[in-house]
Amino acid sequence: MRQNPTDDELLRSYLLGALPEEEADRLEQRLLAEDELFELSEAVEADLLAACARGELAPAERERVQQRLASSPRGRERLALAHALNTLAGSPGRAAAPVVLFPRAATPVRPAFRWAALAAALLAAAGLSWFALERPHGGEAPPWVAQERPAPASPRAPEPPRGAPVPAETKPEPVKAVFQLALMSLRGEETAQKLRVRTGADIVELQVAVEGMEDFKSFHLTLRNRKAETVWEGEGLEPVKLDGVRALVVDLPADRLPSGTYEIQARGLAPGGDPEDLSPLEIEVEREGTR
Amino acid sequence: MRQHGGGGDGDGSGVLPPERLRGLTPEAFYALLTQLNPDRDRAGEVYETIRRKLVRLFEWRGCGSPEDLADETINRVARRLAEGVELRSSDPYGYFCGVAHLVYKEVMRRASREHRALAEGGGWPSPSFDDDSESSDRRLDCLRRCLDQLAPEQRDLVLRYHQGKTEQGENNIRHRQKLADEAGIPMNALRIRVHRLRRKLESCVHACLSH
Repeated sequence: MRQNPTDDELLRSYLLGALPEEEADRLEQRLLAEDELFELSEAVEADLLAACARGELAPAERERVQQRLASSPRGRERLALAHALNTLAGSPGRAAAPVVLFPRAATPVRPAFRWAALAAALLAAAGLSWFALERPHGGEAPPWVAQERPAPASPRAPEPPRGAPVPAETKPEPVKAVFQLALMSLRGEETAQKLRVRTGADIVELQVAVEGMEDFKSFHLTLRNRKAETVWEGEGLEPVKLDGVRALVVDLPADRLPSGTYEIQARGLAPGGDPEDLSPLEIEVEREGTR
Repeated sequence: MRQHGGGGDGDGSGVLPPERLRGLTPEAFYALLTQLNPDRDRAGEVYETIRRKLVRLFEWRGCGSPEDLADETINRVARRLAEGVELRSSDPYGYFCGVAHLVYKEVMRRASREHRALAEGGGWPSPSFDDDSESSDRRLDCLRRCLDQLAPEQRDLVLRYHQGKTEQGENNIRHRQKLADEAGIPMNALRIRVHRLRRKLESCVHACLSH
């Protein structure tokens, strides 16, 4: 493997999303600082779009070009322009390849992969037995936001060998329904997160990611129902790391959350600073068997 | 200088339209400009360059609203500067880059949630862009007109560059290397030269399609 790829090779990998995150970060710093490199990056991008429009890219690369470089309106215009330029330039040896400019995404976008990876990592790290797994795309079951598991989060005990004396029956562990959410400091239209709580859940655990809010050492969360009644309130909540993700973990008795719409209002508290309001999070709780 | 995020002077100071304010005060914006360069005009140019580059970086990361994210990044930097943070003169861009990464991470999380919401609704929406034959023909007409506005040798260069496989069976790389050799310039210089022409064409076609 070559140790020092040229800038155009590096840029091609970056534009295709194939650079490791750290290298991509370093390259982006250079792109901001170096005008010539930035212009070369735009040129390499245009070459990729032209190759995509001519059908010269491998399917995986074509998909990446469409998802990364042609995901914005201007990006789509650039791809269409590349196609038009190829057409006018003509190619006597071959007709321009038909290009499906914007097919329906056949696979989940990268963020979904990341979130699924987080769920998988949590599963692996905690050794949990999950009753339901998120299906991010398609499948016969609906894509669940939540994963339910029995609490506490301890590895499942090995089954006793056959013939061994059966221990006395122990009290069943409470069942937790775990939901992963994320607080945002960005404004934007948000769809209410649907939390389906299965029958038999005793505790609803909300794992609220607060990545990118490192300034805030603690948080104040208030959960209100549709009538603006406070259902639960927590002050001085400090984030913990869940597989490297900074998150608040809140356990609520499941019976406090009947089906309905709720709003989580959040404030971040930085040392010595005033509390800062964050974008509220709307959730819709759906209790199985109550519809 | 174009004002932050595009026209309008909704904040009463003639600087920022309200939809771009997001808690940013005119003082914070001026603090940003001052740190970019003591000369206001030069600061405006640097600001424009940084914004344009941030927009492209977000596009290259596959974000659907790159302009909003670039503005969000700049606003956050400006707020920090107003609080007393200083940009390192040796690397004023590093701070922007760091904040842009934070913004991007937040977007990833939001996208993850939206993905789930979309999936619950039965899948991804149909593509909003539909390059049907009518709009494709229109684009081709516009492109022809725009190409006509270029000098003949420029037009020839752009078209030859995009020719793909030649009659002699040359592949793209070989063909472009030949073009670079003809022009007596390195390959990357050729790429940039063609890209500058293409940028002109892009603006021209965009304007043509808007009419």
